[in-house]
Amino acid sequence: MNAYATPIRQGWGCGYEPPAPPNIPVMPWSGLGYKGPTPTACPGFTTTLPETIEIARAWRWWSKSQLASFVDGAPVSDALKIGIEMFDGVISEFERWKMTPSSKGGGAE
Amino acid sequence: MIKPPSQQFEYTLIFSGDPSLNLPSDRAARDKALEVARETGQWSAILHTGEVPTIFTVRPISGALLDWVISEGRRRDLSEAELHVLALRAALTKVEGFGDNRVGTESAGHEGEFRVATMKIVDALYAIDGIGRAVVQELGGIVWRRAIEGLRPKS
Repeated sequence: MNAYATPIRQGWGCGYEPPAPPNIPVMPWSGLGYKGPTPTACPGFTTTLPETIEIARAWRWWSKSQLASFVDGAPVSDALKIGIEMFDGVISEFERWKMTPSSKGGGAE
Repeated sequence: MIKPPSQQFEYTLIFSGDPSLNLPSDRAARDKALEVARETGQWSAILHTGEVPTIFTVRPISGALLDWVISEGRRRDLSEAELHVLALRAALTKVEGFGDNRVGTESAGHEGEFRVATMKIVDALYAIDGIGRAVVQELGGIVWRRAIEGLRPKS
């Protein structure tokens, strides 16, 4: 995790590091067709957060109409519902990019 | 047992002033270390070797329970500090490493449809010499903000 110097990691928006000082531009990695606002945090950090993983897992169960089993029959929390909706939107966005020819900015060969 | 943060299931909290925590003296570095531990659930990196903290297990406050807490706040004109206490009672399910103290529950809501922690455990926390109020308000504030702010993903 610490193979790179702190200023480099700060420039990537590493969630383990303090915020970058003003003289370090923060440019986290983004790709695979992402066209939204400039990210502020490293996706390597955000995608491995427990709550992100939980939403991804819940989405998998929801996609099979088995969300009730995932939550052991308890009411689904408001935040988890919103997370699943957001995650589903991102999946659709990625799949659209994946099927768009690279000549048009997509990821299809 | 430490459980990672969750929007659906129980998770654990540790008070920032717990003596088992080995935090940097610099305020910004300290706050960052706590933020990372709370986001990732990786507390082991900031624990003194071999020491075990007091672990608070809480549940997310959501749905009808959240509406009841909000409504109680309005009906009883609760201050922010009092709301933190109520939120902590609504969320707290277990305390480990706090002597013989256990979380008892009682019915709440118009028809007793909710179970919340009794004041006994809150009073025991308040009674911790010198830091009791800070413990209750910090933990209560965390569960309350998580409840009312909802999902705030990093991007």
